[in-house]
Amino acid sequence: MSRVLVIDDELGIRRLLEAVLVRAGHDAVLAATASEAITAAQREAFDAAIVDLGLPDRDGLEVVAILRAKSDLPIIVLSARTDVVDKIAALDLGADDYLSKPFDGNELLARLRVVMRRGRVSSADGLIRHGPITVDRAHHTVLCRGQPVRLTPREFELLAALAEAGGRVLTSTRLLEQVWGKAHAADVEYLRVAIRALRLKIEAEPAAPQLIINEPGIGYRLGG
Amino acid sequence: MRSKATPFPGLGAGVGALAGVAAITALSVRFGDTVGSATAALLYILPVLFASVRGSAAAGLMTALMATMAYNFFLLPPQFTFVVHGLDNIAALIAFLAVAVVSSRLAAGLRTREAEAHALARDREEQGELRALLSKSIDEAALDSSAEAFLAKALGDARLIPAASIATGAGLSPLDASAAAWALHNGDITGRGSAIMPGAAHSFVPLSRGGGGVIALSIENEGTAGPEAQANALARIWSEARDRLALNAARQAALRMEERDALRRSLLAALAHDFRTPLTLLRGQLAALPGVDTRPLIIDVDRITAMANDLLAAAQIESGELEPRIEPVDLVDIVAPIADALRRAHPSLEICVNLSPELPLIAADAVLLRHMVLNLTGNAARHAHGAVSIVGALLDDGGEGVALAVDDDGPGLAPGEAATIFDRFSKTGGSDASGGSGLGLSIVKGLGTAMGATVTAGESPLGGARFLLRLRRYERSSP
Repeated sequence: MSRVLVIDDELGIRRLLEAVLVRAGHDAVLAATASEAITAAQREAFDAAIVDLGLPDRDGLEVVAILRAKSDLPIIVLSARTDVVDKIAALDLGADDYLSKPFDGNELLARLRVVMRRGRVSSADGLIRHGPITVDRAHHTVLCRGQPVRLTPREFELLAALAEAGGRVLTSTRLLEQVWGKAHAADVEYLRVAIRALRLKIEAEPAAPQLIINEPGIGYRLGG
Repeated sequence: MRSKATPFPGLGAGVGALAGVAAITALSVRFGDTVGSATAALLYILPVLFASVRGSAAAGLMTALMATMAYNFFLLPPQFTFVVHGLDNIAALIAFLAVAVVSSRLAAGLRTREAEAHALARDREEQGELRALLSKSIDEAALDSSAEAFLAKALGDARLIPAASIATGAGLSPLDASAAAWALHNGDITGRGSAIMPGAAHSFVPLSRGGGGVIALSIENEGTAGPEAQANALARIWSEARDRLALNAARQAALRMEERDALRRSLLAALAHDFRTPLTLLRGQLAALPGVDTRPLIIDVDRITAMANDLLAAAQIESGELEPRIEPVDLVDIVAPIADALRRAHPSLEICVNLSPELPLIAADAVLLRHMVLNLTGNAARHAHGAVSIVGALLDDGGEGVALAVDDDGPGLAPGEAATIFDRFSKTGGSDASGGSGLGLSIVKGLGTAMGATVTAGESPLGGARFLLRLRRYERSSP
């Protein structure tokens, strides 16, 4: 059983999150303010945290930064805002994923599973598996539904990065820095073109992608 | 002497100097044995100096002449005659005259400078007083009346003539009226004491920074040099004080505007938060209800959420708060997930997507574009009988843009509706139960405008309505 720290200023939302978590067999610890949450995080260890970005005493982004500075606890942020700026900021500060309100309970649990699996995506044989994709970093090869796929070095790095994230969202900036280098962090066009090429090679229907999922304004994640 | 009877600057000093000459003469005659004539000559320089410095050049010259004559008559032998005997007397006369001229020149220069410094200090003090007075005024009317009163006292008369009354003559003589008009249009000081139309009765000082008028000064204080300069300086101070007041007012207004914008922004953010919280709760509780199929209800909640999003977007469009983040966007990323969701929400509709893999990237804000496409496809699904089609294609206007067409096979647009359908709360035929907020299409238009995309309505090849988005192609150089 895993312990999840829930930080939201709305009592109703805390109760709802608790119900969803308990139903899935997790143990929920509820905090209404940033300071309560930080105290709780100092007192005991958690397996994950769910942080609302609109807290009364401190900005939720600050909580993300403080939690991340203390541990590598998986963090999911909840946002009631439509714009992407605070979501990107949360991801940059070390949050592992985000959900917009109103969210779906099952979606939340799925995201939680993904972020708690973080760091354990490589199996004993050193292969990264995600859905139909198998990435072999040692031999620089990719299998999709058991079939070998020929990728350029960039496409390989891009797919490997997404597979290693194991379904977590990666911001465009992060992917560009990781695959093309810091100098190209703003060249979103490179990323779009490479994703298109990658989809042509691994998606059953490139115009209706099911594997490489875009989060508008934010980045990409692997689906499935 | 006759000249003594006429008004004469330095008269007192001249009289004093003559008395000095007389005293020196008397003493020299009385003590003639012990005081040599050379010593007496030196002593005579004193009254000459006195008359020159304290009186005027004329008084100095007069005293020098009198001293020469007294020296000649009383002290130089042969005494009591004006007979000149040797060079002594001529040398003394020349010395006295030279002393008188040089010292009176020096003294006169000194006096002029002193008077100038004094006048300058007085002017400065007056300017300072006006500045201090005007800095207390908090509105223009109070400022103008204080300034008028002050200038009237200092100069005689001063008034502010607004631009509008200059055009009608402002009750001035024709010359003064043209001088005032010149000052207004050219921004020069015009009229009396200036280079332009000096024959005018007033001096006209234009208000700076489009102050919309001139200050007319009539100067009573005659005589001394350049009263106009001080008058103009005072008028400038008045004009600057008005500028300062206007600037302060503008700054205050800008500050208030900024505060109002900040308030509106935080209200929008609070609104977004406030409606999402109950919707999240409702959705979560519906999903947790045991033994009931709540899926249709959850779809309703999602529809209410979409409407609330529309309201928020409408408020953002209205307030100009939208700041599109333009980036290269692949239409597949926007259209494919929306088509998936549409198929799930409307299982009976045939949703057809056709995006060529050759389509270029477009320059758009992905979040706003998704909202636009959501509204267009939602609208199409509500009116379609059986089919919705989403087609992306290069525009045939030279390949500059990309078109995204959303078609349905519904009843289509009524005649003339294409022009008005993007107006707020305009609704196409269908019943309200089908769930449009009435804002959807106006939001498509508003969001499009914010990021440089246009939308038009027309006829669909499927028989219903077609909505056509014209999007900008992404170029490396485009922002």
